[in-house]
Amino acid sequence: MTGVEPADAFEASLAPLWRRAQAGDEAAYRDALRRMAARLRSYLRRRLAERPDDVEDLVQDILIAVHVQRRTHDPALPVSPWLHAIARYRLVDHWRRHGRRDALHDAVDDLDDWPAEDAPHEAAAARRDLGVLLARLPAAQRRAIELTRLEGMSVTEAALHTGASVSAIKVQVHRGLKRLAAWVRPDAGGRPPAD
Amino acid sequence: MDTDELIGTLSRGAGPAPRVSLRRAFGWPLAAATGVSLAVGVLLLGAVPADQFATSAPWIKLAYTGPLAMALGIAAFAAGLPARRLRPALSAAAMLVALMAGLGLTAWLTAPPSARAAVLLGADGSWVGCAPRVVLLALPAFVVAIAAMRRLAPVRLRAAGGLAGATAGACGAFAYAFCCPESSAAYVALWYTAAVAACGVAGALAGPRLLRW
Repeated sequence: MTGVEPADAFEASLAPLWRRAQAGDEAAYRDALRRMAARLRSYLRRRLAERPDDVEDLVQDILIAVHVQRRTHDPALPVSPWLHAIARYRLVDHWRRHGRRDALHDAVDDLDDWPAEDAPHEAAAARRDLGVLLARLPAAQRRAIELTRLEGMSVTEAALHTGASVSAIKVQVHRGLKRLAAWVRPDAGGRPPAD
Repeated sequence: MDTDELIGTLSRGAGPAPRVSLRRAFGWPLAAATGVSLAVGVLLLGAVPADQFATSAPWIKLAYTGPLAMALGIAAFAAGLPARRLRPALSAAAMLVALMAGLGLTAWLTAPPSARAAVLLGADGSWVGCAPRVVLLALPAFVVAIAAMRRLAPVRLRAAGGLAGATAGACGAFAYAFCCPESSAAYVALWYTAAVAACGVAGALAGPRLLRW
């Protein structure tokens, strides 16, 4: 979270600029949009960790929305909640256009593309590497992933097999895959600070 | 395009931000739509006899639906602006509904048992037609309210659609008050409110489709 201003500091720095911008001061408007862009970038990076290429596109999309809708800001109210409401709306719209239901499903959607059934020799090699990583997972997560991803069981079968509930299996698989992905791709932001 | 270039393009010659106003966005357009509904209602259904206005019945309907349309319209306007609070206007609308429900309940309880059904359902089963007629008369306001909402920036599309619809319903009920022969407060509390709610549900269903931007 480096470089993210606290919300009230952001509001304090943006509000006077925005007031002048709304009154027609072009330079203040440019500065205000730049500040918003920086804020949006850090807001979106945290929410689009698995699609970093989309961040700048969405920053621009939101800036255009801010510009088109700037008459909808009530001068008696603070700017940052208004900006945040627009940003969130555009972000959800972005997810919808890319076939997501909501933020919670992101990690799952991407990780579901993991190659579970490659060509046999590739699969064997992958399984060796995977075995090392799996061994580092908590037992419940490891078991859930082994059953559903390596042995090809459905979630329901795995639940019957282990005696855990269906949703518990799903949660264990989700958490386990997320942790594995973080180990494999440290740039995705999942690496513990100790490294 | 580079983001800094975009910012330059957006800000160049941007000028002062235009202002939105409740009156221009919703007030005048909805008043005009209600006028159209009133004319259609009088032509199609016929106006109530003028001497009815010597009794309290039409005044209760107008005093209920007029302020209700205003409160819901203010809430709809707020729903069209990002990060605006809906609660004050919504509580005002809820208070009006509660007040009318209280009046209706009182009228129903004080009516002689033999007349209770008529107090609630109107004469000759007129309740069957009441809500559909209100919904019909709400159509012009519905179109206007959705169009007005599309010019704003709603971020919760269901709430915005629902409030636009309910506002239109209250406008339709206001117009229908000039054509409605029923005089019981219980009838108004039940069927007028049901029609407003139905318009709200229609708006909430249509919102995500019609109001996306």
